[in-house]
Amino acid sequence: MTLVGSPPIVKPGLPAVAPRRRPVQGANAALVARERLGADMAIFRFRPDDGPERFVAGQYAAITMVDPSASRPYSMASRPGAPDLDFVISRIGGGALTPRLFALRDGDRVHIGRPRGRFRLDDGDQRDHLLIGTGSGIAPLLSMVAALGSRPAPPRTFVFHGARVREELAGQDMLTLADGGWLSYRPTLSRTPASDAWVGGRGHVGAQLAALIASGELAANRTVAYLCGGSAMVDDCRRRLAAFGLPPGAIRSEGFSTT
Amino acid sequence: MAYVIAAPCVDHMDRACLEVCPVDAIATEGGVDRKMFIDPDGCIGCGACEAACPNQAIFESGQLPAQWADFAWTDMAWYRDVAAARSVVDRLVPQVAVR
Repeated sequence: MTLVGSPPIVKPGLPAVAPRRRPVQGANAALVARERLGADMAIFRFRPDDGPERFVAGQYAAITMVDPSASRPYSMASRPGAPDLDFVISRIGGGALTPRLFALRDGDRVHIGRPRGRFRLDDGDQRDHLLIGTGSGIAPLLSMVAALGSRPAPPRTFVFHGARVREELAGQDMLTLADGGWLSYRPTLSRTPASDAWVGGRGHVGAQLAALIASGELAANRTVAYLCGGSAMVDDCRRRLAAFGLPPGAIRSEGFSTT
Repeated sequence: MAYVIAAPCVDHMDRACLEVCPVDAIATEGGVDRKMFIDPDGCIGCGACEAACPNQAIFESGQLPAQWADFAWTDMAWYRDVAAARSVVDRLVPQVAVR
C-alpha cells in the first residue's frame, strides 16, 4: 500500500509474451441453427470460430452486428463447454438488433463478447435449487440445468417457467426429458385459452411458487433460488422467498425490462 | 471485467479463490509468492472468487480502492514477468522481519 508522501512505486516495463492461453475476449461466430418459438421468439445457436467459450452457467455476453453497429447482452442458454452457444431471443419491434438477428441465415456471422455477469451457478452447491424464469429469462436457467445435469449427483431442482403460450416454452423438450428424478419441471402459461388442452400450470409463476412453498417440499435453510425475467416477477418471487425464510444470499436474480 | 487480488491477500493467502475459480484463472507459487494472482486474460468476471475470499481482498478492477490500484498491475505482470511482479508486491507491502 502506498503511504502518503512516499514516492510512487516504479513498475518496470513488461515483455510482450504470448498469453499462457487464449484470452477470454469474445469471438466471431457463425449462426448454425435457429429454432423458432412462435412468431417473435427463437433459440439462436452460434458456433465460435475458435472453439468453445469459457463461461459459467448464468452469465451473459453481448451479441454484436456491424454496419451499422448494434449490440445487446443475452444470457447463454447452453451448457458451459459445449461447442456452440445458444441464446433465447425475443424480437423487439423497431429494435436496433433483434429484427436483424431474426433475418440472419445459417452461416451469417456475429461477434459474441466475453462472458460477463455475477448471476452464476455455484459449483458444488448441493442445496435444493429453485430456478424460476419467465419468457426468455429461462435462458440462463437452461444453462444451469444442463450444468447441474452433468454433475455425478445433481441436487434436487425445481424449474418454473412462465410463458404466455406453449410455443414460447424455450427448452421444454430438454426439460420434459429431464423431468422426474432430480428435476421437477413445472411450466405455466399466462395467456393460453381455457379451451386449450394444456395440462400444466396456468397463471403466473408466483402462484406456482406459493403452492410449492405451501406444500412443505422445501426447507428454507437448504434451498438456493435463481430468478430471471421481468422485474415484476423477480420482485414478487423475491418477496415470497424472503417471507418463506430464504436469506438474501440464497436468492439470486437477474431482472430485465422489455421496453 | 477482470477481478484483482489486492493487499489484504498478502501473507494471508487463504486459497479459497483457487478452489472456486471455474476457469482456473488464479495461481500462485507455493512457498515463494505472498499473494494469489488473477490472470486478466483468463478471468471471466463471474465474481466467485470475490464471494469466497475471507480476507475481502478481491475486487472488480473498476472497483479497486485507489490505494490498491497497483495490484491490477501485479496480477497482470505475474503472468508475464514473475520476478517483476514479486518485486512490486514486496515494495507495495514490505515484508515484516521475524526475529
